[in-house]
Amino acid sequence: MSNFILDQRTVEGAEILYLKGFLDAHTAPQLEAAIGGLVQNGKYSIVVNFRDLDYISSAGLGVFMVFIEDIRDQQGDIKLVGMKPKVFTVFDLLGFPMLFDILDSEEDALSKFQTA
Amino acid sequence: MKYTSNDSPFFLSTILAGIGAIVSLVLLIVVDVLGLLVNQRDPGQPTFFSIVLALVFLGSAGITWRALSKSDPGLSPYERLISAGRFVSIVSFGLVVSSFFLPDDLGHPWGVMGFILAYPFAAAAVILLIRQLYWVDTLVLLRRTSYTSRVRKYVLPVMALLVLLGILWPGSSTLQITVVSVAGGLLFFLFGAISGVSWIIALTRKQKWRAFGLACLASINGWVLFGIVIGSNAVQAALRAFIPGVDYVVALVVICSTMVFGRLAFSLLLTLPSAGIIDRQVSEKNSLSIMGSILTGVEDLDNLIGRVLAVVTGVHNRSVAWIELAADGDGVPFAAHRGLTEPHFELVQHQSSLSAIAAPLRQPLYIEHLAEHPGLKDLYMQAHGFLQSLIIVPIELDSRRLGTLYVGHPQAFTFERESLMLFSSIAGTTSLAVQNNRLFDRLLRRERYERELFLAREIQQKLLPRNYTVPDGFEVAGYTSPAFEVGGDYYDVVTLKNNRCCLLIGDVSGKGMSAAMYTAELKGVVLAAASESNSPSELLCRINRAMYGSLDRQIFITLGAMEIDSESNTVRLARAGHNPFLIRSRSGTMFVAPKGIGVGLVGSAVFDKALEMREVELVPGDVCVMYTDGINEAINEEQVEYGNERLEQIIGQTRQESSADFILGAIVRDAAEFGGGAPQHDDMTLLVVNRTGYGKLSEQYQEREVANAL
Repeated sequence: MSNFILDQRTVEGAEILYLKGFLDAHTAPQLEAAIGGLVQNGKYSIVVNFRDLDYISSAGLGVFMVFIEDIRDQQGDIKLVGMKPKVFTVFDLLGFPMLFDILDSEEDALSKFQTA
Repeated sequence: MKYTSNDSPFFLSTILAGIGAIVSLVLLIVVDVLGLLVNQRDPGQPTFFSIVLALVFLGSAGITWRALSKSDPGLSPYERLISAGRFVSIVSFGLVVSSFFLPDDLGHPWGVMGFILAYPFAAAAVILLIRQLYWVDTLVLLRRTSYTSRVRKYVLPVMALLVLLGILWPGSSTLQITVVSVAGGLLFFLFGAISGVSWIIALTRKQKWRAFGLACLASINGWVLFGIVIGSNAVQAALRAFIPGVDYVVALVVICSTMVFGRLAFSLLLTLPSAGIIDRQVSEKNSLSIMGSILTGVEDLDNLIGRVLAVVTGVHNRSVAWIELAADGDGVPFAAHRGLTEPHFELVQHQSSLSAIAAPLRQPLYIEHLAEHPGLKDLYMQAHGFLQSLIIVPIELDSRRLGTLYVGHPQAFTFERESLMLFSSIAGTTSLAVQNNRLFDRLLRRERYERELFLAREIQQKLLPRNYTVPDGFEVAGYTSPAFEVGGDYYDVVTLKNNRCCLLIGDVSGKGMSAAMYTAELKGVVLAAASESNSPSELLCRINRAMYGSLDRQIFITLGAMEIDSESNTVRLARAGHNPFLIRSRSGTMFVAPKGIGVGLVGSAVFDKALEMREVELVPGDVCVMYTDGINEAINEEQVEYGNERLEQIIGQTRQESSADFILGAIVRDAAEFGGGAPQHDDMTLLVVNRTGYGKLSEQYQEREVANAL
């Protein structure tokens, strides 16, 4: 199944994950493994870019909840950026804006990491 | 045998016949002894009365014997031969030995002691020889043909009649007729016996040797006995005194049975050289038929392979065999052996040189001598005592390698090339049987799983609310349909602490069994929390408090709750991350989404603070719809989403007097129509609340209209 593609880049000390396609119960484990790998390597400043993500299911949303506590305990954070309106609606309905920084662009996220 | 010893008529007649035999023999002896003592009559010239007594004795003794001896029609020719040969040998030997105890001067003149010795001897000899004739008869009948049947039907009675005549009217002319007729009948018998011995070909080598030995013994004994009957005056005198002329009958029977056995011994001798090949062919044939039964049977893999190994090792004496099967899917590799000790099995199993040869094989390979194979020198040294020649057969199905069959022997150059064909065929059948076994196993596991799913579904159905009451003026309709057997959607109708009715709709993240288990937990928590809560927001906060921490980190539950206040015609709405409420009123449709976070995502500090409650007035004809994302995110075959807009539209089209059931049906029908043939990929749940009474309003309105018109 190649309807989900995950890319990763390091910019100014933060790890940026690029999601593309469909994030659902089948593809969520890929994202979980990627974030898990970062946490294991002590990378706690994570930006997830939703620029090319078309769909997210409840299983996809759950991935962010798996690590957020541990990351915040380490003074890190996961910041979510570049969501399409439809994807944002899903996050919004669930109340994620009250739990995560949901921002427009990578730059916003990076500057937030720097001021923190 | 039709009767058993438990049948009383049989039992009685046998006893009577036995008594008759003993009484007639004693009477015969008494009559002849009296004749000797009183009239000085020679027993060699019997009276009519003594002959009748002798015949009565013969008849009743024959009946007793036949009743007591058991003949099993299921016996194979070989078993009959063995038992007949043994019997004939013992009888002949017994008669030869006991004839030495007869005094030589039995005949002239008769002494009382010799007389008393001679009569039981003659009686025993006659009965045993008739019995022997009966055995010859069964041997002849081993292969029943129309010829042998005819002999039995016509020749035997004629023979018996002539023998009887010869006995009753002794004289040289009748004696000649008797001898000629008996000899003629026996010739018929002999011809039948000699022509029908093909069954001995199929005997195993061991059986042939055994049968040959017994047949030789029986015929040698027979010739010795014949010599004694012809040559010993005492024996002849004893037999003639008992029944005149019977010495010829005895001699002929002895000749006949001796010839039958001699002929058998000769035939057996001829087939002995080919016995090895026949043996192998027979065992090959047997093994193939056993393999057929293995294929059709259903049993576990251990038994199955055990039976295959038994067949394989049964073909060659002292051979050993083992089978290795590769792991099937998520299973484990399988190996079993027969004829090896555990350390030897360990040794061959972990022999990498052997697996290196076996792995690429597509055809059976015969290694006549391990020492001659360049790759197996090591194995040859280590396995010297128990393995010298080896056949390796790949077990394949549709060119998919399942494993390997190894057949070995402690001696080199043991197997014939032809055996490769057999083992190859066995390996083929084994592959099918293994495949069957695995498929059956999988089927069984799946059936068990499906049964459990079915039960889980039934239990989940019982979690849905039944017999709930809603306040007057309100109507509720609910619908849920899991994507799989069980799902993570939930709806309920509960009563709060303030006695108001509260509707709940929920969706556990994920699908299937794990989600279903959480809905069961949720149901319990909801029931407990409802009786403590005075508002939908309080209810949701309590539910979050109870479930946060008990859910896995990535699992959350979205919940929507609606409290109905029938006094003030309002509903109070609270939402924990769930889809918005869709309300249709006179002014149109709108989504109502009070703020709130999904249950299980955060602790109560954040959750409670974030949770909003909204109050909405519902007047008659207004409708509030609660739904899970299986409805609005349903995707059809063109990958188009159902969407909130279409939901809004379809609800907007329903009439204000429509019942909750009707509106629910309209949505469900529309969603089904939209989905077309696309599989449902998420659980769908729908809850429709309708403020009733609109119809009455319009009736009143119409009445007023009518009244105005008048």
